[in-house]
Amino acid sequence: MANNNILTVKNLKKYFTTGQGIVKAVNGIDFSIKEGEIFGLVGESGSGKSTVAYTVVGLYKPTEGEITYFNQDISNESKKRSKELKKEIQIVFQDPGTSINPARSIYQIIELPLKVHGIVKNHKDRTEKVKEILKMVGLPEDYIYKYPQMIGGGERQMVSIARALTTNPSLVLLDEPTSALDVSIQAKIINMLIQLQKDFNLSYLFITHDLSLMRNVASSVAIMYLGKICENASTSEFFRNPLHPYTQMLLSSIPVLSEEEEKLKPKKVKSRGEIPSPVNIPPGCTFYSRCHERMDICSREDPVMVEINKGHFVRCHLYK
Amino acid sequence: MKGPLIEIKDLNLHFKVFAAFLKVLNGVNFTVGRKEKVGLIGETGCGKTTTMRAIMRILGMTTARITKGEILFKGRDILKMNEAEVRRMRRKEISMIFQDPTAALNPVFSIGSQIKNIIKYLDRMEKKLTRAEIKTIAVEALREVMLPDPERILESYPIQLSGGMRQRVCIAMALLSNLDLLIADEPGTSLDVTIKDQIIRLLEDLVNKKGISVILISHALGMVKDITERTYVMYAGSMVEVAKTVELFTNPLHPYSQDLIAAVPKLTGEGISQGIPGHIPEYINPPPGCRFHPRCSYVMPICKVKKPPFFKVRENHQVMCWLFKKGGNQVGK
Repeated sequence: MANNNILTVKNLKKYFTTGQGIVKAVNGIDFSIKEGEIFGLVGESGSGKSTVAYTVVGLYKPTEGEITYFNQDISNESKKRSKELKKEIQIVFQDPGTSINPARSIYQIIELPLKVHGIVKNHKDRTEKVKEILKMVGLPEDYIYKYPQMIGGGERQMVSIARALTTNPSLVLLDEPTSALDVSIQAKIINMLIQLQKDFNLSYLFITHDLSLMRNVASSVAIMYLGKICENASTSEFFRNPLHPYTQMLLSSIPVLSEEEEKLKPKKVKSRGEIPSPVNIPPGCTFYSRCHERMDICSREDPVMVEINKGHFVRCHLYK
Repeated sequence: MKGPLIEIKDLNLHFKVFAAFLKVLNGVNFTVGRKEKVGLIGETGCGKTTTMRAIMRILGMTTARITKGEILFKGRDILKMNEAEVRRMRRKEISMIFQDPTAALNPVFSIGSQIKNIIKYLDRMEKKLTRAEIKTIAVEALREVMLPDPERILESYPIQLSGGMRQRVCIAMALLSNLDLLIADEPGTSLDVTIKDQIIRLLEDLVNKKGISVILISHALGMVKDITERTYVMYAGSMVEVAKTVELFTNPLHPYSQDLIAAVPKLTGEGISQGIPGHIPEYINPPPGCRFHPRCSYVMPICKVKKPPFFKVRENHQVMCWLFKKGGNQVGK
């Protein structure tokens, strides 16, 4: 079977063992990313969205389930992956303050992947290549002499993105790339990311908690809650017709600026409760404790994913 | 008593670093009326928190120098108060909620002992309360912020509570005294969107019920729009625009306000603006004239030499920009 999905995740589980019990950070999720698509993964903190990214890039070994890159099974740790594969999948972390080494110059930071993967062997060519990469993300050439603490947070994130792009990857995982930044800088970075995606036909797994941002960036969206995906649809379909009670709560909680946006929100669903601890999750639907439309069955049985419209999946007993 | 609750007039503040001065606040003018809810927006590093710290007088006084201006609180100049008066003011009249509730609570004391200490300190001047009375007040305060099972929470430590619960505890602590002004410095930033929504609604209910003035600092412009009546936009140490909140968000006039508001991603999904070119200036050697001129797309020769005053464009709408010298709406949106 021809596979034009760059990434397919099937029944992925990642459990962590802690003193209090087993944390089911990711508890059986399925999704797929088409080539050249921006796939958005949204969720509150503690919902397991970063764990998904870390597992895909190979920082964690999945407890169970399958991750497929095109037709290649990659359900293993990064040390067991080939260099070729590592080149193709890159990650950008949330906080550029901690994800790039403060003791290395920008040149050294960007040079490292070029050296490791043997992309540019010659030292002189490498300097040129680094300059070229910096130019690609809109940073001046003389930044190669600077250190991370000499530049602003937004520029640091640009360096982090530049580093991820040095190996010419096909899939980039963006773990909340702009949540630590001001909106004015966020706008610049997002525009650049979208431009790069078009120029190089990249695929993104874009993780964020900001639904308004997602609306403008992603072509399809999955909403995660407590280790499971509760709704998955194309962005336009999703915002036109949000189905899951959690999604409705999430959307109605967004503070917006204009009247037109206000109209797009579902009727006010009063947000209540907090995301429960992922240790010892009670049986039934994980959202039961906060749901405004809960029924008896929800406390006993965990709902399964059903397809409501074409490509619009929801996991809730309301839609059987 | 008449007059505004807080009035800051032409406040200039420098921080001393090594041999240089960071000229951070550059003529701040700011007023908050009684029972008024005021928003304050701007990028990181614009001096929003510094202004609030100046009001509370919790700036490090060894490095911070107020070179000019006054902060009138109920007609009295905070900068001229002695230590005892400032302590009284912080205790009874102004309170602050911080961005990160985890850092605002002491991790080694239980919530109960922290709250009870505040209550003891509050009533030291007046009558002496018994332990049982103090506990009743503490439980009542926690119940007011909708925390379930307050008795249990009194015995827990901050680490045992979630971020949302910690922020509720901070709100309960801030509202213990019968205060006049609450400064909320990005109260929901570290929380998730659904939790933020809960916290903000709670805060709004409580301040409306108690008739407290609020200064809300936030990057979440939508939140500012939902709650406040009037909003200030701050850039590089000056207030550059002030208007009724609804008017500011529908018809921003200052080029900076326009760019800032346009940079917020919209739910309608019409794409994202280009953001604002450049970044906040260095405070050691800030640009002369209007500090926004290096980033401004409407820059004129006068902007580079002279700082604009506030021009009144409409009733309740003032903007610090030379484009509005003759009044009227000159910048097309």
